[in-house]
Amino acid sequence: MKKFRIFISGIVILTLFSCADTDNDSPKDNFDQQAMLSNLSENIFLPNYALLESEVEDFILRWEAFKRIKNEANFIQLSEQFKEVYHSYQKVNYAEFGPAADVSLRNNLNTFPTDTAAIINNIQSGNLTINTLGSFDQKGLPAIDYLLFSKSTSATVNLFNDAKYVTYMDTLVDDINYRVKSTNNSWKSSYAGTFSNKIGSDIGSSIGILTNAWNQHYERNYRDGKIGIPLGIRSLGLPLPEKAEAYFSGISTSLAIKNLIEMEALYLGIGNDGINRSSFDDYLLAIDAQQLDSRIKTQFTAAEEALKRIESGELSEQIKNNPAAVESAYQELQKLILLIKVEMPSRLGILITYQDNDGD
Amino acid sequence: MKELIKRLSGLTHIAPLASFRFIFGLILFAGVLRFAFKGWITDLYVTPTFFFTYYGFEFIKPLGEVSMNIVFVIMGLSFLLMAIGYWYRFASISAFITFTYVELIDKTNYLNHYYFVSLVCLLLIFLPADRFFSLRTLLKPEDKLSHVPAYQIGVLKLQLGIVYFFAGLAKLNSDWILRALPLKIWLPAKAHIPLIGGLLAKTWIAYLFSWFGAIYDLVIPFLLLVKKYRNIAYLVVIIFHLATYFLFQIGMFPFVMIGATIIFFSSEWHLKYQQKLLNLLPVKKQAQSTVETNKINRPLILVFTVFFLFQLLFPLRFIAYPGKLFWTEQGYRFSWRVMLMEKAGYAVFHVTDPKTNRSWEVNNYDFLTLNQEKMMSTQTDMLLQFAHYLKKYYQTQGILEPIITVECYASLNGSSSQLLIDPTLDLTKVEDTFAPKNWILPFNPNL
Repeated sequence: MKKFRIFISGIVILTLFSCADTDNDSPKDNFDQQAMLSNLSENIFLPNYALLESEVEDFILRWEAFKRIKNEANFIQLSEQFKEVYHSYQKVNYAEFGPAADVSLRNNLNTFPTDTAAIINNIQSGNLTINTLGSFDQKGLPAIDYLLFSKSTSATVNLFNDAKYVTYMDTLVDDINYRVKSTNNSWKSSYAGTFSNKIGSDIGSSIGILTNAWNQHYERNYRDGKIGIPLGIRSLGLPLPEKAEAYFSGISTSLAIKNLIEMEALYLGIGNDGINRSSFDDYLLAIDAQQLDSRIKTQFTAAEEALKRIESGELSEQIKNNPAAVESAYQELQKLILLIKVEMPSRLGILITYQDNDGD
Repeated sequence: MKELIKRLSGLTHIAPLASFRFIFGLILFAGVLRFAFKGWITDLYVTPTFFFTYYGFEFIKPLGEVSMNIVFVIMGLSFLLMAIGYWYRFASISAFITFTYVELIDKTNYLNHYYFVSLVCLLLIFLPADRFFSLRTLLKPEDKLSHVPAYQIGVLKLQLGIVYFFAGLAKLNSDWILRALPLKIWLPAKAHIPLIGGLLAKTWIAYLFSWFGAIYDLVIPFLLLVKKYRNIAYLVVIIFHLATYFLFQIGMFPFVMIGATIIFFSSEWHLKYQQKLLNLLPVKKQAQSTVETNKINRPLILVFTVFFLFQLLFPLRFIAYPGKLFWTEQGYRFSWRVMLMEKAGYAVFHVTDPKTNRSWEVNNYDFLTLNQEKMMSTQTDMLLQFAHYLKKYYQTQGILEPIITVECYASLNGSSSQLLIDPTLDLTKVEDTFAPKNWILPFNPNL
């Protein structure tokens, strides 16, 4: 037993020496995950969902007004408010988990490209069952984008003199309203608390859930959906500009920039009041990953600038006439993935799969 | 040599072997149930459209959904039969075959402890572990065997010793010892744990855990062998593995090791607990059976010798490869490198059709599961396999000679991410072999 004790003391002494030699053991404050989660939920998610809900309500008011008096002035009000709704949706689309996932907010609100032939067919045949898995591409914001923007203003106003169009539009609006309200209510009533309290970094923790949802959105719905697919990355290099988000209203790039700014706000913890509080950047600083933090910030800026270079005119036009600039924006978005999907979770110890792993 | 064989063949009581069979079978049975209830049979072996086969085992393919479930039912029953000691020869063979088959389907799911389980199942086929403390001997007491040659228990101790010792050797690298990596990254991520969380964020704790882990792995098999230290050593085994269970997502491994290491205890210890368990059963106490013994089995000793020589040499194959092992991972698997590094990567495959000169990127998630993509993004042989799969896929799309390159960035132990392999190399022209992959770019630790 004596030898064993000497042996153990040896280990302890060696260990202490190794610390002294190689690393200054600066006692740092533990990062308060709960503060971060509370901030995200109180200052970002709750106000963002509330904003989306109120924008949708505004849209409904204008839709009702337009239904009463179908003139161009009311239509312009309606279509401008539609763009507000679409932009405010960019504040929540990366958070497809919890209440949003419960109502499949993304699939129901923003599946694009929308199936224009099926929509016309639904309208003409009076088919209002848009709650099936197969009808995601006949509803939501892209369907309204098609109905409001595919024709000239006067032709569109005229279109809604056909009661079938009004009925279909009513169905689309009701569905969006229901899902947005349901999401917002769940967040307000219970999920905000659940979210703030599930600390940790495992697969079921809020940071794990958020990071995974955010990355999945960024990779598939943002980089690919908004830019990559119209650019032709999934079609053997053949551009498909008609697959852009909000193709008919032509606000694709504006939505993409908005979305990126919102994801940056998430990363930085900037609330709707503009105040920067605890979030991923502070978490990285707390574990001494300043360099990674600054690279992420720099890359957000670079990606925004690249997107702004293709901001003028419609994305579909830019893809046809200025493909190199769109390609360069895509590459800048690509670089950010590496940072937020690979390096950040790796440094923060966030698990991205639930499977057993022995670290190799 | 003769002396050695004589020593190895000296008789020892069979009880530890019987307990080992019982515990090992039970834990693995629980492991199979856990796997099935988590839905992993479907997630891992039915859902994926592509599987990363092992070199030389490309013919191993998953069966359909129903058949895969049947395989797992057979596997579970085999471990249960093994535990109770009935139809043991069949059970151990079928446990080995089903378990190894499933592990060989996709290297995405490679875990060192799965390899360990396969090896132990293989050993158990050749050991008379059902001849004591088993349903077989309860029903048929004349089959009872009280003593076996020492090597028949020794092989299991040696197997465990190899796992620990090589795991310890693998930790003797500068990242682990001098920089406390990757624990310095992993432990602070657990800082929210009540009571000890605050400590886990401290750098000195990462060093303590790293050094303790390395020393633990290197010396624990020897301490377990010595009677004087056995009890305290086993206590350390329990604490160590439970700590890893609570801190990391490593599944059944801690329990397999806690269960398996009881083989080191004396036969008196085992007999005592076996009797306690038997007393719970409504069976009449049986008289000790005759002391029958196994004869020296020279062919078996030869088989074991070859088996262990392989195990002593195979983990060392990394020495033959140039470059940083953790970066290239040439000779990394099947070498007891457990919880050694934090590595993550991101791979973008570029395809060019030389006919049209058009280029595009591959959406990995169209072909791979989240976990497959994650594993592939840091392992060069998997990147190559996927490129070859893509080549076949695009050929079916009418692109006969696709040029496929990969832009793969990886980060090792918190380094900035850097290119893992040559991004200009057409992977369709490269074959995987055991030769060094000279297209892996060197790791720059200063980035």
